[in-house]
Order: sequence, then structure tokens, then C-alpha cells
Amino acid sequence: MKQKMTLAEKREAVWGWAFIIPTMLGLLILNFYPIFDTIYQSFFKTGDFGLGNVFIGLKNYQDMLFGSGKAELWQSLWNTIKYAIIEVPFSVVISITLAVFLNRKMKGRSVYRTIFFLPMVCAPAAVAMVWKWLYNQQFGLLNNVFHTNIAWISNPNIAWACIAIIGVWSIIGYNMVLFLGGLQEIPGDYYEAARIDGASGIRQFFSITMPLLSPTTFFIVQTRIIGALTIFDLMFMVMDKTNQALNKTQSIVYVFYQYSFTNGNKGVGAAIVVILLVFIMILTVILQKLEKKLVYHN
Amino acid sequence: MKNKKRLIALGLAATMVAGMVTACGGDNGGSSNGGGSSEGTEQGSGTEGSDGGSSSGGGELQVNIWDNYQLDGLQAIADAWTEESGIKVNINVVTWDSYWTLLSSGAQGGEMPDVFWMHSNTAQMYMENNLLLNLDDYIAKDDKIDMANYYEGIVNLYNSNGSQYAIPKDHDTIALLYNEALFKKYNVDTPTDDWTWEDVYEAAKKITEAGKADGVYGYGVNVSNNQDGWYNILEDYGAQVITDDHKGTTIGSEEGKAGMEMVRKILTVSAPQSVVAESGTDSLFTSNLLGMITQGSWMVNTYYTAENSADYKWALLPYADVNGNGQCDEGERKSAYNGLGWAASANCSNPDAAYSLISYFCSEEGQKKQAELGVAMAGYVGASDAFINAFEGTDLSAFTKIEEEGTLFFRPYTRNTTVWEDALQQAGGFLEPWQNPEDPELMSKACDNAQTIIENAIANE
Amino acid sequence: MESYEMKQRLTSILIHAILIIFSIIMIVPFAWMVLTALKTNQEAISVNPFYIFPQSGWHWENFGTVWKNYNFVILYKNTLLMIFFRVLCACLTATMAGYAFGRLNFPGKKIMFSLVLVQMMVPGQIFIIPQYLMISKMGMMNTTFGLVFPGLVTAFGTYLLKTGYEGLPKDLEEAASLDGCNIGQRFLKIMMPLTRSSMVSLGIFTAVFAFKDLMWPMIVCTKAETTTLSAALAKMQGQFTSDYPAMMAAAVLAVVPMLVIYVIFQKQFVEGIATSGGKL
Repeated sequence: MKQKMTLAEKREAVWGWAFIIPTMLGLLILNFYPIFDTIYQSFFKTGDFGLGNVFIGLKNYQDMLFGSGKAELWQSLWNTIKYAIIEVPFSVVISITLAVFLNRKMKGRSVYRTIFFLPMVCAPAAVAMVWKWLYNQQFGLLNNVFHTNIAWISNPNIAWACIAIIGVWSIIGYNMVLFLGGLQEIPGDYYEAARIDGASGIRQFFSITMPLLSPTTFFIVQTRIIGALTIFDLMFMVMDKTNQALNKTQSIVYVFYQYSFTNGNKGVGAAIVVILLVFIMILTVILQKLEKKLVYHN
Repeated sequence: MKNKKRLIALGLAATMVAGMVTACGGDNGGSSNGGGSSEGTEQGSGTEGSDGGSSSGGGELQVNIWDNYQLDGLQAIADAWTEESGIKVNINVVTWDSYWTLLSSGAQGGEMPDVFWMHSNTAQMYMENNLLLNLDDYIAKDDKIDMANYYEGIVNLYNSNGSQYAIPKDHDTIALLYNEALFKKYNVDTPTDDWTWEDVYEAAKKITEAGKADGVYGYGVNVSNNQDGWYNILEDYGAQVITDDHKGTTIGSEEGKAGMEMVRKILTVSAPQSVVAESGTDSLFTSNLLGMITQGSWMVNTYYTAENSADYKWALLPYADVNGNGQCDEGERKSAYNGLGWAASANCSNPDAAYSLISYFCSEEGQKKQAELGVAMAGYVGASDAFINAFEGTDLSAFTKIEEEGTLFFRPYTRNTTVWEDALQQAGGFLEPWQNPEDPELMSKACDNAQTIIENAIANE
Repeated sequence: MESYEMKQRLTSILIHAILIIFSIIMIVPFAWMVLTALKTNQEAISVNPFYIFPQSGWHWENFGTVWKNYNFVILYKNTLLMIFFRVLCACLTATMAGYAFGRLNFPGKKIMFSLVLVQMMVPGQIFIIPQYLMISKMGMMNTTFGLVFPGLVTAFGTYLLKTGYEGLPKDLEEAASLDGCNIGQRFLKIMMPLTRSSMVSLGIFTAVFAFKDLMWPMIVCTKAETTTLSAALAKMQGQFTSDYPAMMAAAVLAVVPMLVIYVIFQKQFVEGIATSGGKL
């Protein structure tokens, strides 16, 4: 039996909708219209300049999932998952640690915070150049300093990990800012009380900080998973098209970009986007269901 | 009270948003003010076509290019045209990757620039979809422009169904670049005009062996060095990457395999693919780690401004002595060439002005000016001498000699070139034999694969 | 107690050591940018691994060339305008929507929020061309509005602020409604101010990502007078060669305002909250 809403509930509903209308309207026009357009396009074989599109139903999906493109698609999806497996946990752990350190009163705290923020404002071209230089097999700094001869980004077996390291490095500052924000909201009295009770720093961390930080942590994990799965820039800028490790490193969005933009095959590209979207949606649903268990609510 | 303050703040924000919508981030192109643009340029003698709602209201032409290096030079030439015509020219640089995205989305409902560069990769698509302005009538009336004065291959590239849609802007050829100091150091004879690819192989072998301790290699080439690299060797042996009708390939034929076998041989004495892929032939060469590479005339400036440029010399592109008679016969020395074209949008609001600008750029005078800037060799036959002389102290005659002593073939293209071009550079194309040049079987198999890749790509176009 | 103090000091030293190591790792590319800006182009692309420092003297003239060739004043102005309005729009829309999703109940809330999440799950490249076509049809090319357009609303910001609001104690709102506030007043007077740190974070991120965005400004701004710093920078990448020292010099010049913004925000808001300890 449907319950009628009380007056208070109705009022709340009106306010609620009023507050979300600007954002939802914006998302609808700016983002959902292109998303629907993309889904629509995935059922077509694209003609030049959007003219002469031929409806081919699920053929793009068939080709990419089971047919001629399947090796490329599944490999790139796996590459992307591997990337995410390294980027998300490592960057979260490192940035929580750094944020906790920087939350204390200490000398030079502002200096550290600014330094950790620097990678975020560096021109992406600069970042790519530096890491390419570090990783270069013949002339790179790493191999020359450690006297090794490792093909960091040319060896198909480890290239993906090396790219993931760049990913971790570049996202630490970002995560740290968010964690600092979350830490700031934990009242200092809890720590005072704990210290008086004789709890060690580490104990305090696990009993107070982690639970109270869990909403922020969950948010960061959730958004970084999505962010890692849609990674593109790193592979695009650091790995050359003729790199032999490309096949085992390229992300699924990279493959999409090749099809849609480089080769003008927007139909197949759109199908790839939809496949990725479905995958991420499934993951997100699982994660959202786990939220109640993982996150500590007041 | 606080509430009021917040409301005022919100109100201010709202007006700011409104203000932002109407404010200009700069010049709005005057599309709302009919005749004059906000810069007050004279209308001059340029004819005004229909005026509203395009990218150039008033007296202005929008030009798109992708090479920042050419911006200053072209702007100078354009400004000279502006003095005559009274129409301002706004040249916008868009990086290569975004250039085509922008142009094609402009074609699909956005704003296309009035005048822009065309490239062999995509020219056919644009022409067949009627996106380029038909220049036939203009050219017929224009006594400064006669298509016979330009390189035939480029003219044909921008000609569709008998109509001309772009006028050649420049052309480039390939030559052999070598490091004289390295040759002297390892006591190897420097390249001459009579060299065959066998001679290249021998010299590279000597340098690579002698230079092992220093990490020096005799030769360097990457899978992606196609126009300036292996295309030429392949064609010397009689095969074609893309046949003349642009609908097929003979890369998997006997001649094709013979050509690629020569490439493979040279690869065995070159810097390994793993090195070149990460560092690039140009960096390696200017770091004095390579004895020879092949390069195109568009790269002259890079080497001219390098630290050791005094050691760098350009030699005539070698030939393949296929018939074994010890001399260079017809078809044995080939160089790829390419040329950009100046085109106008079919729907531009001021086609007369657009054509006038293109005509200025491509006239003999404009072409000579461009060559003087040392940017590229002219699309106009015979106007390239200024280019050769633009770089004091360097002998660039190899680039024009090849046209006399060899045969030029146009850079291979089809309707959608990048699809197969990229595939050839990757795994499943030539990547494997490039990484393992010791195995002739791999190269031979790759030729067959390449044949299939290209044929499939063409079938899908 | 001595051993406690010693423990504190050791911990402090250890922490500083870790921070310093990470600082070095973080600062490397920025140092690289500055050093490359002082080299010649050939040194910049050289493969010698130890060409860390410019070999032929410090070429400060690269900065001069870049400054002369690019009208940095206009570039700064355009970039700052774009950043300012994007931050404003993001904070306004996201805080409202975040509050609603985080604290209010209304039919369809779950579905609407999933839509918000979905926006983040697709690669951003699919938005560029449709948005470009919209701006072009509206005649808003080369305007600040055009630059701000993709950032008028933010799904990410909405999610961030929802998390922020969810973390506030439940009793606050009951207390407020007992005092006679309606929802709007509760929001403005009590809840919004408490999410200051999330808003600051959002502001910082919006600013940084707006600043780094180069594909969109390059597409929307066809005139040199209206373009932004990052788009101007990107153009220095040629089809075959790039002028690295110039690019890096420009990049360094571009970073300066960002750092200033960050430092100001940092000091004013984040530090302020930290020293005030508990806020309840």
C-alpha cells in the first residue's frame, strides 16, 4: 500500500528536487545527450562525417566481444584492470599516510603540502617527458643509476606496471588533498581522549582515524576506481605507437580513441564505450551495496 | 543578517553568470555588428558575400593550420595580402591530433575555418563529400595560377572528378643524412651520388661494428619512418605500397619481398628497434649515435640548428641496382614526396576573399616568399631555390637533385590512410620483423600480412 | 617522561624522513620543467641521461622569448576568468545537489544519484564534440561562457559534497528545525558552512583541472586573444618536432598563478579549520 507523504515530506521533496535541478539539468544537456548519442551510434557503421550511417544492429558488439576485435578488446580491458589494481590501493595507502603525517602540527607543513601538490599542476607534457626519460632503456636515468638494463616501458610484461607507477605518483597529491579535508573534520577531542587513555599513535589511527575517515576513503576508492578504469592520457603520451609493449599496456579507452578519433570509426568506438560503461556500472553497484558495511556512519 | 548576506551573495553570483554569458572573452568576430568588425578594418576592395552567422563576420578570414613553426611566416605573407584586400586574416594553430577532429566536426555542423590545409590522408574524403570549395572557375579567371606550374602528383591529389579543390602549397622530398665526423672517426668512405642500398649496408655494417664500444650505430630507422624510410627502398625494387589507382597494393609480391629483404638487411646493422622506439631516430642522430638516417626536407631546420650541425651532411638518396648493371636506371632511384594544399570551405561566407588569399599563398610570388623562410619547398615548380639557399653553410641540393636524377612517387594514400598505416607499424604488421631482423622468414611473412591488412582496410572504406 | 619525548622525537624524525623522500619524488618533474626551460632544444631532446643540467649555460632568454611571443597578460586573464567561473558554478551547483542527495529525502533520489555516478563512468572524449557543436550553434565560440560550458555542473563535485554532508551529525538538522528554520535556511546557515573543507577541495580540483584542460580551449577558442594558457602551450607541439624549452618555459610561467591560488586557499581555509580543533 502506497503511503501518502506527509506535508513535511512533501516540502522536503520539493526542496530536494529544487536543489538538484540545476545539476541534473546540466548533466542532461551536457553529458547525457552525448551519452545517448554514443549508445545510438554504437549500432551503426559510421559513414564519413556522420552521413550515410548504416544500421547494423549489434554487429559492432559482436565483432569486438567475440569476433575480429576480441583479442584487442579483452586484452585492453585486462590491461586496464591491472592498472587499476596497482593505482588504486597504492595511491590510497600512500596518500592516507602522507595526509595523516601532514595533519599534525609540524614545521614546514605548508611547504610539504605545496610540494605534494606540484605534480597536479605540472603540464601533462612535462610529466610524460620526465617519465619517458627516467624509463628509457638505453639512456634513462633509472637504468644508468642502478646499472640495470631493464626495458621498463618496452617489456610487455612489466610496462603496464611502470605506467601504473606513474599513475600512482600523479594522483597522490590529489588524494592527499581529499584526505586532508576528511581528516580536518575529525574532532580533535577524540584524539585527546585516546592519548589520555594511553593509546599509541598507531592504535589511534586504526580506531579513530580510519573509521571516521571511512566516508572519505570510500569516496576516493570509488572515484579512483572509475578514474583508473577510464585512464587514457598516460598510455597515449608515454608510449609510442610502435612500442612493442603497447598491446599489453593500452587501456580500453586508448583502444576507443584509436577507433573513434584516429581512424574515424565512431560506431565501433561507441560500442567500446558502452561495453566499458556496463562493466563499470556493475562494479559500482557492487561497491555501493558494500558501502553500508564498510563505511562508518554517525 | 547572515541570511540576507547569503542571498545578496547568491544574487551577485547570478548576475555574474549573466554577465559572463554576454561578456566577450575577447573579440567576438563582430557577427552581431553587420558591417565593420570591432577593429574597424576597411572593407576595401574585397567583395562581401553573404554576411551573417559564419566564422567570419565583417572583414575577416579564419585560417587553420597545424604547424606552429610556419605561423609567423604565413602570417607575414597573409598580412601583405591584407594590405591589398583590406580583409584581416586570423591564423589559428591547432595541433595535428585535434586539427582533424575539429575540421570534421566543423563539417558536421560546427564552424569550419574559411581557409585551411589539406593533407593526402583525408583529401579524398573531404572532396567526395563536397566539403571543399570548387576552385575551377576561380582558377580559370586567375592569370596568376596555372595548375601546370605545380607538381603533378599534388595537383592530382587535390583533384576530384576533374575539378580542382585545393592548390599545392609545398612539397618535400627525401635525402640521406649522414654524420661526417662519425664516418671519419671510423674510417669509412662517405656517401656519394652513386651509392646503392648495398653500399649503405656495407658502410653501416662497418660503423656499427667499429662503434660498438661507443654505442654508435651505422644506421637507424623506425617502423614509423615510412615516407622518409622504407617506402623508398620498397619502391626502388619495383613494388608499390599503394597502386596508382589507390585501390590496391603490391607489397606482398616478389618485388615487394625483395625490397623488404633489403630493408631487413640494413636493419641487421642498424640500431635495434627497442632503442629507436624509445628514443627516436632524430634524438639519436643529434646525440651523434647514428651514422646515417634518411629524412625529409621538412626536418632540415631541426638539424640545421643542432649543436653539431657542421658535421651533418645531406647526400642524394641511394638507389637499388635491381638489374645489377652497376648504374642507376629509370625507376631504380625513387623518393616519396608529399604536398599540402590550401583549400577553402565549400560553405564559407566569403568565397571570393578565401580564393584570393589562397591564390596569393600559391602564386609564384607567395611561394617564393614561403621558400625564403626556409620552411618548406614550394608546391610551385622551380620556386624552391630560395629554400635551398635559406640555410647558409649547408648543401641541400640533394633534395632537388633527386627530382632530376630519380623518380618521385607520391606518398601512398587511400581514402582513409591512417587505418592501414598505423596497423603496419604495429604487431601483426611489420613490428615483429623489425624487432627480429635476423630472421628473413618473419619479414617475408609480414609482407603477406601487410598485403592483407591494406586490402582489408581499402575494402572497408 | 624522557622516553616518551624521545619516542616523539624519533617519530618526528622518521616522519620527516619519509616526507622528504616523497617530496623529492614529487618535485622531480617540476625541477625538470624548470631545467629544460633553460636548455637549448637539442639539449632537451638529447638522449644523454646525465644532461640534467643545461650544458651550454643557462638560457634565461627562453623565458624572454616566450613572454614576448605570447601575450601572457591576456592568457592569464582568460585562464583566470575561466577558472573563476568554473569554480563558482561547480561549488554552487554541487553544494546544493550534494546537500539534497546527502540529507534530504525525495522520490527518485536513488535513480538521480546513479545518473550522477554514470556521468563519471564514460571517457570524457565523448562529450567534446557534442558540446562543441552546441557552443557553435549558440554562437558562443571564443567567449568565457564557451570556456566554462563543460564545467557548469559537476558530477564529481556533487558526489564529493554529498559525502561531505553525509558526514555531518544528524542532530544538527533536528536542532535547526526546532528553532524554526525551513530547509533552505538550514542549508544556508548551518549545513553549508560546515562543509567548508570539501568545498575548498572541490574548488582546488576544479581550478586545477580547468587549468590543465587543453583540448576544449583549443577547440572553442579560435582567436589568440581568447585562448587559455594550456591551449597556447599545446600549440608549441609541432607535427614533427616540438620546441621543448619554449614549452617548458611557458609551462613554468603558467604554473605560477596556480600555485598562488593554492597557497591562498590553503592558508585561509584549511589551516583555519585545523587550528580550531573540534568544531562542535
